[in-house]
Amino acid sequence: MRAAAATAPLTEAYPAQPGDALAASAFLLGWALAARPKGLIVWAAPEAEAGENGAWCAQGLAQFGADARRIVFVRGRSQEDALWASEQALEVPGAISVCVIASSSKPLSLSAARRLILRAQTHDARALLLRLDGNKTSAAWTRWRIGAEPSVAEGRLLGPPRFCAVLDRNRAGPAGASWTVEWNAHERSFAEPALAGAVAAAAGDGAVDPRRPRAA
Amino acid sequence: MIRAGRAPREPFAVYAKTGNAFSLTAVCARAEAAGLHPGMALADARAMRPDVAVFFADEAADAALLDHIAAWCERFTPVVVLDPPHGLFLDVTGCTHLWGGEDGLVRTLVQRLNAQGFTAHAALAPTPGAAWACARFQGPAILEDSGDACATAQALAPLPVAALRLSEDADAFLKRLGLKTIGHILNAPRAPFAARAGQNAMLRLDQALGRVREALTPRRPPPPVFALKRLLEPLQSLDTVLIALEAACAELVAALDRRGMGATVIAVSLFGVDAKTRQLRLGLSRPERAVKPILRILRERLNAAPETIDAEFGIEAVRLDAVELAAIAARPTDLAPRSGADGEAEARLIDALAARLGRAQVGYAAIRDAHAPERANAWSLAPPDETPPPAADGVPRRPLRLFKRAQPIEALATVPDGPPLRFRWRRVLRTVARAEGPERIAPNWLKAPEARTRDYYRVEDAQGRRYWVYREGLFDEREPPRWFLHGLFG
Repeated sequence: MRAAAATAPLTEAYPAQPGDALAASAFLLGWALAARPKGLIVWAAPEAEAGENGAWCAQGLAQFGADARRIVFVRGRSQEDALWASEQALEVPGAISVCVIASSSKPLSLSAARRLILRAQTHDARALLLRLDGNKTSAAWTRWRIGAEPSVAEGRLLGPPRFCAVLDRNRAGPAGASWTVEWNAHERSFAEPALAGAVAAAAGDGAVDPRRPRAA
Repeated sequence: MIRAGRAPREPFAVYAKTGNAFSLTAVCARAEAAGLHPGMALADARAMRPDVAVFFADEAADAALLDHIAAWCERFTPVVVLDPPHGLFLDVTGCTHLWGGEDGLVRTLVQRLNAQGFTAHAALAPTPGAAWACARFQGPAILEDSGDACATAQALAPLPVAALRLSEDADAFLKRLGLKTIGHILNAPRAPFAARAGQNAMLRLDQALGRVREALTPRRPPPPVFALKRLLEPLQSLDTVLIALEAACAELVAALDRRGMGATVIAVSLFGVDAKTRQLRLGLSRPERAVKPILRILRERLNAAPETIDAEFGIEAVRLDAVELAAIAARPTDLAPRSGADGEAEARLIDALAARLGRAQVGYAAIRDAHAPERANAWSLAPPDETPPPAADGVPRRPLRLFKRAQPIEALATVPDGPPLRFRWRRVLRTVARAEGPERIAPNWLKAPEARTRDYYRVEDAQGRRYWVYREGLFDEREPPRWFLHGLFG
């Protein structure tokens, strides 16, 4: 399962509930940052999505631990433009290309998804899809359901971002496992907070690399 | 200039005010046959031929038309020089082979201008002065450049001295002396001649003979490197034009290679049969000297703007100019290109994306030094120099996404100065479980004196979703404070 997830050319994430779009978005951003320590990340989204969830905030990105020199943001006028940009980005060796499928767009065709997979495989790149369209069919190898998770901190203070990630679909192994992970902005990795579920307890040290999630 | 389309049936002439009188500046062929000639007083002309239609000269329109013709002539060479009121110089060095040699070029040029309704004379000579003389005074259409001034001198000898672009005074002076043709003054002693006819006359003679170089200022600065392709048949489809552009591109790249330079800005000109020129400018983020990436950007730009190529009668010539050049640092070939970050591939990708989607749609997120959070974001095509470190405790203080306009929310706060207890956003009531703040951001009183103070809170609802909300205004002010949602955290 580890190997399958690590080499999956196309990974998808979708919000568990309509209000979790930002959580899913942040999770994928974290995934992209953690998956490779260097190299280009292209984040393509149609303009409609920015209207819905706001524009990227450079200060917020920096505080999230995102290296601004790695990430190129593309705003497509339409969903097709965003997908096209995403496909182009996969031609850069080692790139990670994220495409947002906005809630208002047409369902993603299977052939478009397969094209992404093919390109990603040829150029050793990774394609990520953020599915805000609520459509369940896809050709992705792995598919995550992401929800926000209340933070853990003293009193009424806020802690680091936390997510509840459920591996909904896994082409090369068992699916259905669920994790609660906390984003570490300094290490640029997801960590499983201690005492947060049986998985972490069984695993020991708690660090979860998104490329190698532990089998439940 | 006489516009064929507006020409009336009867003979006509154009007049302008010279000094205190109106006199003719141009006449049509039939008016000339009737005995009118430029320079004649308008009253005389009207007395001689009352049936001649006369028009007042429109110099601005003439200049615009000359410029238009000059633009059309750029399909022959990029170096076109305006010579008002009705002349053009074309520097066709290295361009004649595309039109079947010098003879073919001159013939095509005149034929095509005639077909458009212009009366044109053209001559090709080793110097601009000689070409000017031959074109205007029926000299030979083509003067071979044999490299010595004697051949040019012989050809110019029978032409009148006026062919030397002399001032009126010098022209009249020479005529008074009986020196009617250029041949008469060719071997005049230099110092006395210059003393009597003026320095300018001497200079013009030298320029015509090539003894002195003449500097001309082209209509547009000539590109340091260019490639011109003439097509045998006008092309109409995008694919075929791209094939022609590929050939031009290969030529351009070869020329760049010889210079050891790369192009950072490329101008594309597509010359239509309909006498219109379609132009595009490609900006490249790094000096480029390879056919494929240039062609890729070109294809994207043409795909994005198909109207560029929408020529009713097709495209008959294409030209690529490397407008701006930069040195290319030679780099060792990466034998294992998958090994790591590939800066070159990234730059090409960004060029291609910007070419199709527009430069404003692609960019890195950069932080701008601004007071208001909604102004602190900038987009740049080049990566920022550095990125600030994340928050020390790993808890972001600023949201990942920021709304361009903060969205009004209904909020309920227990304490007047405290965070909200509950708020309604997008019709959903959210209960605040955790909150931090306030972070006070006072308005910039210089730029926005009307703006109210904002107190920002980071709040988390019961499900763990985080929002950046603020209260605008203070409780002790006359207007009650209002609540807004400004951003979303991951």
